[in-house]
Amino acid sequence: MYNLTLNHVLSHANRSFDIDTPVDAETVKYLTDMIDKFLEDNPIAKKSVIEDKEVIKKLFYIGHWNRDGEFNSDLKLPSFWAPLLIILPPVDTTDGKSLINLGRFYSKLGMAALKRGYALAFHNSLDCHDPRLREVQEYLHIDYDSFVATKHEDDFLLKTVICIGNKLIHDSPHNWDWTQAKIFESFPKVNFDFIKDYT
Amino acid sequence: MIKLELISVRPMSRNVDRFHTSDDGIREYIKKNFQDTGKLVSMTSSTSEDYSTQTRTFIFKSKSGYEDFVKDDILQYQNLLRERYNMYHKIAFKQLVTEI
Repeated sequence: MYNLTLNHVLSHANRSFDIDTPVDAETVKYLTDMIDKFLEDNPIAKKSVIEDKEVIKKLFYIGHWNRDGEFNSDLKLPSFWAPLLIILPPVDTTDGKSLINLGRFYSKLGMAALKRGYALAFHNSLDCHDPRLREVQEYLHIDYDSFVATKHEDDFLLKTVICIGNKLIHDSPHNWDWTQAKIFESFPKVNFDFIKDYT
Repeated sequence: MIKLELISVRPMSRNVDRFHTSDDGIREYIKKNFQDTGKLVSMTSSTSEDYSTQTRTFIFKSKSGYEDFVKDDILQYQNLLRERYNMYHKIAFKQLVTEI
């Protein structure tokens, strides 16, 4: 039933995961089977399902978008520190229909994880100009040096990551940020009045 | 030996802004590639009494170790992030290199 609690869950990316409690094997298999079936019918993306903590750590360090210098470099995106990361980079980033299709599938994966009791977050904030990206390029399905050779200052990679795991503190708000011990400010959500006024 | 000093000065009116700080991954990288290999002898940081100036000091065993450090592309990218951060937060920065 849709209620305030579910609204809160769906309105906020979970910001603090318990990195040391892995997602159960059955759920990982369930999600992996979902992905394999989807990609078999729609070969529009590559696949990375990451549970290795060392790889997650490397992604965590480059999981930051600091183009204008506002944020200090030790400030990281807290959600990346999750025990299960799924990345499905699109094969053709110019094919709008495929991207919408892939986006819908990302939502289905997220809902499947929620139904199994896990918290989740979506992220698209990798600092793709950081040379450390070279160490995790196989998981992102890119060649960093080729990217650097052709990149423009404003280029960024379309690598959406689903972060899945248990909440670090069971009864904390979803947007509680363990890296700063405070609530992570979310963008204002579209409310009923806004929709009513603009439709 | 070569001494590299990275000196950052923030305006007194803005001394609540932090100095630029790299993440733990960079510290691990420097330890593994420069300290553990003997190229970097020491790495220290100090702040002035009025908290306006931070000096980070790196002592390299040889000129080649220092050159490897300044040419390293991962560390060069950190310099770019620091430049942007300093510009945004109005922090002055200078770098001194001396042979000791």
